[in-house]
Amino acid sequence: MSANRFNSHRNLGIGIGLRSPHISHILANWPDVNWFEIISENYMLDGGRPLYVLDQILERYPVVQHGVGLYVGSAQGLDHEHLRRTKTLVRRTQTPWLTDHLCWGSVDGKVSHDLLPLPYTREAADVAVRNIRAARAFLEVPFVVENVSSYAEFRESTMTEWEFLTEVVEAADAGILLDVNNIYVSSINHGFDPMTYLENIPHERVAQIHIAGHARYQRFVIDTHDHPVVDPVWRLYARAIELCGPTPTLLEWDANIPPFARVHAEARKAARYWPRIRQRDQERLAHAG
Amino acid sequence: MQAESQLHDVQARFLAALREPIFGDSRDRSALPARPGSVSATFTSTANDLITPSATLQPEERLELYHRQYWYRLLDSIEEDFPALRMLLGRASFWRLVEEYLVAAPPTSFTLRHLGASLADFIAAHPRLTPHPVQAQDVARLEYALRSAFEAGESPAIAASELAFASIALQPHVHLLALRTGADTLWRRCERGQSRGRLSPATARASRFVAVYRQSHDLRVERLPRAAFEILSAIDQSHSLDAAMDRVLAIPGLLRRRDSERVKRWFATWTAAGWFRRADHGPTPSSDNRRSP
Repeated sequence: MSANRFNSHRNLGIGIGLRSPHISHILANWPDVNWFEIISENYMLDGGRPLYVLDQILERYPVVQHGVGLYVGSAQGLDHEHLRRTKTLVRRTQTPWLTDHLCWGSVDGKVSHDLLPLPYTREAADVAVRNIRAARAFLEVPFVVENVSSYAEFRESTMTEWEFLTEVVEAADAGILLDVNNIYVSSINHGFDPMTYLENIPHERVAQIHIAGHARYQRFVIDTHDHPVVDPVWRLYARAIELCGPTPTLLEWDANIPPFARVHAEARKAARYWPRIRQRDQERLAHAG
Repeated sequence: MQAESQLHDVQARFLAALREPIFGDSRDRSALPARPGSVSATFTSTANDLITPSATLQPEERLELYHRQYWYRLLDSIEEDFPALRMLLGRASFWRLVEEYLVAAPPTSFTLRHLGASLADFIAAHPRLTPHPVQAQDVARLEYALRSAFEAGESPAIAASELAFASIALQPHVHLLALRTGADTLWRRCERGQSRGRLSPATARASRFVAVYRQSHDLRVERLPRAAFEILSAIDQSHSLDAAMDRVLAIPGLLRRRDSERVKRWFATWTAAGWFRRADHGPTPSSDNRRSP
C-alpha cells in the first residue's frame, strides 16, 4: 500500500523540507537525507541562486514538489499560467509525484497567499474534481492533494471533511498527502475525533504523509510548523502507518527553523514507527559502535 | 453553473473580508476577539452568514484568524523586502504606508516576491503618505530592483568582439536607476546595520546613477558615472552599440575625446561580467546546470 501508483511506486522513506537556513550546511556536507520536499513556488524563477542550489540538490537527492498555489478548490478554475510554471519545474525536478492542497486561495485575480478552507458540499467537490483532473492531465505526473488545517467551518457543509476528501480523490483519481498534524489541528478547532478522520479515508490512495508542529492557544490551535511534533500527532502518525503501511514521510518545519541536525533528528523520529527502518538504524548503530 | 456561482460568491465574500484593513489592536496581534469596531459590519455579517461557531470561538473570531493571517503574511513579506525603506520612514510611517498600499494594490501574483512591484509608483502618486516621499520612492525602486535581479533570467553573454555587429541588450538581471537622492547610500547603511544618518535633500533632477545586478548569485548595487549609465540605457533601448554611442555623444559635455580609454575599460568590465546578451534572445530560465529530462 505504501508504494503505490500515486507515489510512482517509490517509497522514499523519511525526508525533510529544503529550507534556506540549511542550504549552506547541505551543500557543504551532503548529509544522509533520503529526500527533500520543495515548495514549488519558491523555485518558479527565471534564474538566480535558488535554481542553482536546486540543481545541486537534484544531482544527489530525490526531490518532491509541494505546491501552495494551484488552488484546486477555486470556483473560477485553475490559473493556466501557474499550471505552465508548475510543469516547467516538474520537468526540471523530475518529481516522482506532485502535491498541492485541497483548498482555494484566489478570487477574481486577487490572491490570498493562504490555504483557505472549502465548504464541504457537492458543488465544491465537483469544482475540485474538475480542477484536479485538468491539472493531472496537463502536468502528466501523479497528482496528490493534501488535507489542510482549518479554523473555520461553513454553515452550508453537508458532509464531514474526511467524506469530502474521500469523495474528491476518488472521483478525481488523485492520491492523498495525509497531513496528520493538520488533522490534529482541525480536530481541536472543530471538535471531532482525529482517529475517526484517519480511519475513514481511502488508505490505498495515501502517497505521502506530513508531520509537523503547531502552536496551541487557549481557544484554538494554529498550524505554524514552528515546533517539534507533539505526542498526539505521533500517535496519529503511528496509526496512519498501521493503516497505510510505511509511507514516504516528510517533516515540515518552516518557521523559527533550528539547525539542520535538530530538524533531521526530529524527522527521523518517524522511524520508530517503521519496523524495517528501525532495524536498519539499529544495524547502523551497531556498525558505528 | 448556478451552484458554482454560489461557491464563487462564498469565496468572494470570504476574501473581501480578509482584505479589510487591519489596524490598531488587531495589528498588534492581541488576543481574540478583536476590539469592537475594528472590523466592519460587512465583515461581521460575512462571518455570521458563512461560518458556524465552534465550542470556543464565534464566527467573527474564526474569520478574524484568517483576516490576521492574511495581513501578517503580507506585512512580514513587505518588511523583509524593504528594510531600508522601513529604516528611512520609521516604524509607524512605514506600516501606515504599506497598509494603504496593500489596500490599494492587493496581491495578484502567485508569489509574495512581487508584492512590492508597484510600491514606488504608489509612493510617487501619494506623496503625503510619507515624511520623505522622494527619498522613499528612490529607496523603494532600488529595493524592488534587488528583488527583480534576484530571480531574473540570464541569456548567454555576448563576446566583446561581437558587440559592434550584433543586436544587443542588457541581461534581465541588470537594472539601471537614475536617482534624485542618496538611496544607495541609505541602502548600504541599512545593510551594514548602521543608523539612517542625515538625509541629504533630493535634487531637482537625477544626480546619482546606479546599477543593480546579480553576479555569481550575489546581488550588487554599484554607482555609475552618468556617462556609463547613459551608454547602458541607450544600448538597452536601441539594441545597437553604434546607435547608443551616437545618442550619448550628442549629449553636450557628457563625453570628451579623452574619455575613450575610460569607456573602453567600462565595456571591458561589463562584457567580462556578462552584462550583454543578444537582443533577439529573450530572457531564458537559467540555462546553466539545468538537468536534461
